[in-house]
Amino acid sequence: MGLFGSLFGKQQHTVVVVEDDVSLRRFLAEQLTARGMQVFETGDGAKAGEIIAEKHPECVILDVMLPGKNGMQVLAELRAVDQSTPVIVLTTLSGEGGLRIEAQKHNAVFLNKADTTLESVVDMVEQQIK
Amino acid sequence: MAVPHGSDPHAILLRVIAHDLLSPLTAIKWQSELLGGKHVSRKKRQAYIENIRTSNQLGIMIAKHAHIAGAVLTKTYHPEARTVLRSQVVADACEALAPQFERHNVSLATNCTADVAEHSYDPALLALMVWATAKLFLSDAPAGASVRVGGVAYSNNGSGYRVVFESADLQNKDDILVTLKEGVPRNSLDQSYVFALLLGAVAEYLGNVHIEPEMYQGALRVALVFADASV
Repeated sequence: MGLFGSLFGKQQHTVVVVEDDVSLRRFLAEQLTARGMQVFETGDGAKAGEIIAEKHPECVILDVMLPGKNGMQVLAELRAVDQSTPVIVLTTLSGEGGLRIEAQKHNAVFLNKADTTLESVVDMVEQQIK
Repeated sequence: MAVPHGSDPHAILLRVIAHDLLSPLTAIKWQSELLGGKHVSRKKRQAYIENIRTSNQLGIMIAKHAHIAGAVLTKTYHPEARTVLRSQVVADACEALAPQFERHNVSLATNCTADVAEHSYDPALLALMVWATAKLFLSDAPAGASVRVGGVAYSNNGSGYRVVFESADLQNKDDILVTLKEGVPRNSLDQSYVFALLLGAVAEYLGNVHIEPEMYQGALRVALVFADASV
């Protein structure tokens, strides 16, 4: 339990952010932390599964274009062992033509970064955790 | 995995470049949002403004490359050749790439020995080649990876120049090598495939450049070999 959680006597929510753009990842982590969440980060698709398995997050923010393994591969592998952890696929790739459908097929929310404010991403995380 | 836009290489390339361009634009958008927030310290405000400036420069660079890439791929580009030192163009192109590498926490070290003489080239096409090769490496480079770029004149009269990109830290190195040699994408989101495609198209446009990919002591090496082009 982190400081914020300890102060208020409740469990701190845990989020894993998988995003290879250091700037975007930092903005997300800062805003999630500001809302009292504990954030674990990686920019590596090949390590994402390992971190998710280790941290047991209550929500995962998952970019698609990643080194090592793309986000949709990470999502498919996660869903093979875990159907319930909320996942938000957050990408600048258009959802047309399959990505959105594929994300939804794997019980994930699809958001396009270019169409989304930072605040609404954090709101979506809170909504998924509740 | 589903193939969202079929296997048309130009469609995939367009999609990947659009994705590349949207990253700094999204960073600008999010930082503008943060700047408008309450209780933003002076230090944070300055950091956001500086980052917006860097993102803007990066976006402009990508848009310029995309503009030329589109013309090259549709065979409508009209080169503007002028006498240049290839070593200088490569070094400048690598310097312009630094912010893109920093955003992925990947180091890019450049060491190009000076060209012996000036040669006639379109510098925008040379810079596009450098960008495509660098992106080929960056797309599969994990945080902390390092990419080296070396340039050296190789022929007796100094008209040949060889630029080598090398990294031992890339994930899926063998797959990238196969992609470079056989031109087959691993999947519909294969960035190395589209940058290999672009690299090949620009080399074809220049006419006197060929690409030599190889695995050398565990590192992926891609050499851009500029043949005789004395003016």
